[in-house]
Amino acid sequence: MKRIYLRFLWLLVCFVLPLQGQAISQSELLDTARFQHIDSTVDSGRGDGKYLDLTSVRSVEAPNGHRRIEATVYVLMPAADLIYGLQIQYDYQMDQSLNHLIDKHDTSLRNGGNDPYISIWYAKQSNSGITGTITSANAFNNGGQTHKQQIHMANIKAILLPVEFGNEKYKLPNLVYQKAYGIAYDDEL
Amino acid sequence: MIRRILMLAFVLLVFTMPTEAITLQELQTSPQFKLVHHHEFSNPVTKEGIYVYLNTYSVEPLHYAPPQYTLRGIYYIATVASYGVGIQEKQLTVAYDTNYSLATLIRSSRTMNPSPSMIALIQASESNSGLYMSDIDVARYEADGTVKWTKYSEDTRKFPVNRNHRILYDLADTMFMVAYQQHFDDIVVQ
Repeated sequence: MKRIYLRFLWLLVCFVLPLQGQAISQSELLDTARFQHIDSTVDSGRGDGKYLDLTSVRSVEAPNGHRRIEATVYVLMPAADLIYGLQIQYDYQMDQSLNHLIDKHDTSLRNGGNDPYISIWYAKQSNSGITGTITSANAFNNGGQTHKQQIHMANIKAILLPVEFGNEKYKLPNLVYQKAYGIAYDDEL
Repeated sequence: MIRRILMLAFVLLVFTMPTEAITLQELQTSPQFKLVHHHEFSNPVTKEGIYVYLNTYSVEPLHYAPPQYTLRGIYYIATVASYGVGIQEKQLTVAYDTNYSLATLIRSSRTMNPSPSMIALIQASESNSGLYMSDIDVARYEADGTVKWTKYSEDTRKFPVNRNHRILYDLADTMFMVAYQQHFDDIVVQ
């Protein structure tokens, strides 16, 4: 009987605690040691917007020439009494970083090439080098309780994707990369 | 004498009229019109789509004080669709500042020690592309050159052009190449 009780306690520790960890309230997001606010032009200035959970950033296995990182981002919308918890996996194509493209361009110039500098920007505009996949999504209210509202994946995806060069959704994956590897993705040579 | 003066005035007026009727065939065949952008709708055989041509003969410098330049030119937007063809004539005035060209930004980023992050370079290129322009409707034509309407306003409001505004950027860059034989973003200000 005691053994069953102990096993039950272990189950509680294994399943319930991680679930509680995912649920997040508005006040918890203000903990700057754990969450970094991502500045955005759509912020009202009242603390709403996207928060990167710094403890969630971890690199995962990736094919040759790529790097992949998982992270959790919370989107706080206090006026709507809503917080989205989004787990995202970013894929980085290493030979498409801006520093690598500029270096390749400069080498080509030294060897007699005549591609204009704007061709680097066009290359990044057609392929930023970063793709993202949302792997799970949860909704909470401002107090941190699970929200009953149905999650529309199309709307959720539009918050963070697509990652296009020159748009705001491009900054977050660069920051995520910096947290994982110490330098921004676009600084990789 | 008065008749001669009137005749001379008429001839001068005819040769200096700012707008000339244009046909789709002229845009497609005359070398003075450079195809800057095209987007086919769906069927490549019928050539339905939008085509943007710059009249390279129309490009004129208004201001030359490097690293600042101003150019003006005429361009045409031809819409070819199953229901007909429409040609829009527009006048573009672009103020260029090569202090903000990509070559200048990249060069200064490379010479700084320690070198700033590429993110700073991206932000600098987005906050000011060095291009300001004003865009005015001049006239609209049918495919055979029949004038549908003409209008000329002195609306000179300038707006910044981002490098993501591909059509306007390419027009501005093509005008710069016509005038100075170089891409705008390749000019380095030391």
